[in-house]
Amino acid sequence: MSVEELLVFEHGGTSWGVARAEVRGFGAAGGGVAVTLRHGRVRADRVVGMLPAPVVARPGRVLRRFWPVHARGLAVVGGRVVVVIDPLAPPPGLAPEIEGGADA
Amino acid sequence: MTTASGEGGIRCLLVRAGEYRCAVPLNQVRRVVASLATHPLPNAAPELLGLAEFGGEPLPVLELARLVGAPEGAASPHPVTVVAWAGPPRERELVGLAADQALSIVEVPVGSLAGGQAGLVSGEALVDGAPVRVLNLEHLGAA
Amino acid sequence: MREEHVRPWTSPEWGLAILVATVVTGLVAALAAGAGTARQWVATAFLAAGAVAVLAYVAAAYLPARHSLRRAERAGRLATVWERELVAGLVELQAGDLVRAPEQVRNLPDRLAGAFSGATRSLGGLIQQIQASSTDVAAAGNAVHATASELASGSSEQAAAVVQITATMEELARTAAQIAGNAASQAELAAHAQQTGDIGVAAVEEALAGVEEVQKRISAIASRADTLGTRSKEIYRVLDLITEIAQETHILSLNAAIEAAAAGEHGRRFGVVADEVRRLAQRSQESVDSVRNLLEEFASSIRATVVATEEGGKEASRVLERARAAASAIEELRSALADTARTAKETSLATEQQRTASDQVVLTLKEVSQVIQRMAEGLKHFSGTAERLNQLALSIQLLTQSFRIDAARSLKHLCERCAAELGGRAGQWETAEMQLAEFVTRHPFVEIAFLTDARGVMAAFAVNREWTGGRAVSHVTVGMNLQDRPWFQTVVREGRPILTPLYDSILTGDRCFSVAAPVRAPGGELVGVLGFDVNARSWTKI
Repeated sequence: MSVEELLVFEHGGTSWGVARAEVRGFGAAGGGVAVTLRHGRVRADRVVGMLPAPVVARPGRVLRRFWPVHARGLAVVGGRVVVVIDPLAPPPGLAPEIEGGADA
Repeated sequence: MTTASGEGGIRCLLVRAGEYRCAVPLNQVRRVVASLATHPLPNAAPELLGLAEFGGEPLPVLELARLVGAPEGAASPHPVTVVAWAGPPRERELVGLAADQALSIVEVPVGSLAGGQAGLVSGEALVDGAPVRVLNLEHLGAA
Repeated sequence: MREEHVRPWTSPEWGLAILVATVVTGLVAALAAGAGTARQWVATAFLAAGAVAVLAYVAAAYLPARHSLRRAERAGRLATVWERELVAGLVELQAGDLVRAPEQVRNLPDRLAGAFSGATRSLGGLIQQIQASSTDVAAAGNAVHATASELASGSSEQAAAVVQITATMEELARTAAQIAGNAASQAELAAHAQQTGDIGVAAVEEALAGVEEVQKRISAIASRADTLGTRSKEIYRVLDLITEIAQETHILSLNAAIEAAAAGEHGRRFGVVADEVRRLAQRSQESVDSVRNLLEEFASSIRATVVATEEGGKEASRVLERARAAASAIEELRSALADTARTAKETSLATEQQRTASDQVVLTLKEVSQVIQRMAEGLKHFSGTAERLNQLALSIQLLTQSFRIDAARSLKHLCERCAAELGGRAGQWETAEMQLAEFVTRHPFVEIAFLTDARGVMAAFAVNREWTGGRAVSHVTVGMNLQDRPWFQTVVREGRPILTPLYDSILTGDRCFSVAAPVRAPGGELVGVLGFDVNARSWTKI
């Protein structure tokens, strides 16, 4: 099994992750970090780092019932639970801008 | 309903959620652990406390007292998280139910359930002279 | 010159007669002596010598003697005239009329008249000097009298002030004595309070020591309570650990039951064990709860004890603080009392000294009062002397006024001149009243001026309003007869100005004197008497 590497960052008290392949760059953004992705940008309070994520499980029904937010999956990375976002549809409040990238 | 029953009763894990005593059938309980730390999710329903890590797996944790609509009770010195199977048998998934206290293992007599419902609380029974809400987590994932 | 009794043998005729008799006798003797040439020569010679002698006598003695005799007779007649004039002048002088006296001697020889006039002038000058001096003396006497009166008045005021000061000083002395008494009492009280303060300080210090001891014991108790609390915390930690273990055991038992349930029949025995474990955990928890309750009670007691100890400690600290503050206050009070006692003693001494000083001042003031009294009496005497001096000066003035001199200050001369003016208008005395009014206005020392006719009937008078204060004068009227008044009779009798002795004025009640002079018509006949009354109080204005 290939171990996916995720860029893990924190925002709003939650740990988020995005596939490393989606990440294009970083920039400062109002006290935080603006992560430039292939298809947009997301805002991070703090970037934890690139961490391996062996398992990325899809959100179950119960979770979807109580948190109807689109996410690619959930993973436990470095002892923390990370919500892996879909770079094309990040959760609201995380990525207000979507821009066309080089690979769009 | 598949039950872990004794002699004419359903063996349940008795917990306290708020002021209610809730019984979770043992066959739906995976583990009882000390209260797990949760990481909240933005825009989540109030019942969803957040995600916890259990056995290397992400575990959504729900507040049982909210789920059953229990009035707020006394603060517990030993809150627990009941790791249980929720959802229909073929699509069950692990969820955490945050309870104020794990009391004991009880046997709820079959047929003593009153007020049978198709929701989370399948009914109410008397255990040791006090009412207990018997849960059925198969319907937890249902909308 | 008086006729002298001429001795007959000294007259020239007798001399000549004797000489002729001698010659004849000689001749007869010669002739009788016989004839002869010698006799004849002798007789001729004697005759010639006799003739020569007679001639010489006639020429040298008889004729001059007769001339001298005639001259002496002429001189005698002239001397008689001179004597008469001199006597007249001396009479006027005797009467004090130094104006008329020189007039009487104008026919005297120049040297005599000059000498008389000179003597009269000298006398007049002397009288004026005396008048001026008497006025000065009177003025000085008045000044002295005024000064003495002022001094006497001042002395009276001083005496009154001294009396007041004496009274005040005596009051001050009494007050000082009272203050001294109070200060002594205060010193006593302060000393007593100081002693009490000493006792209080000792008591407070004892209390302080006791409180400090209590505080120490409370601290010890608190320390022990802290130790117990610490131990309790350790026990609580252990209990928490045991509780944790019990809880974990409880959960473990639950999980075991869950696993047993999942294991089905195979897990039944395991389930039983799990139940036992759960019960064990429950009992442990109950024991822990029981111990916790006991410990809670114990801890509660400890806490209560600690709280009580802390409060006791705080209270002890407060008490200690208050005790220290009290000790400090008592110390300050003691110090203040000591200061008060010292001050009271000093005050007592000072007031005692003040009282002594006040007594001395009172004594001195009494002496001063006596001195002032003696001075007042002296001033009174002095004032009396000044008054007598004034009277003496007045007497001298009156004495000088008895002379009539040609000077503005001579009242007789003034009266005489005024009378002469009136005399020139004898029979036309309609304006006499106006003249008299003018006279009294010009001479403020005059109370009243009056004019009578030769029979003594009042013809006119004028009153000086300054003396009467505008009062109506009822006892003097035109037409009243004054012929029986001594001054009128004296003027008529002596025909010269007179000055009366001092008497009491009817107008003012003051001492006054009158001056009067005869009024004569141009022919010399007496037609009236002019007079005026001089108020003795204003004689210095003459």
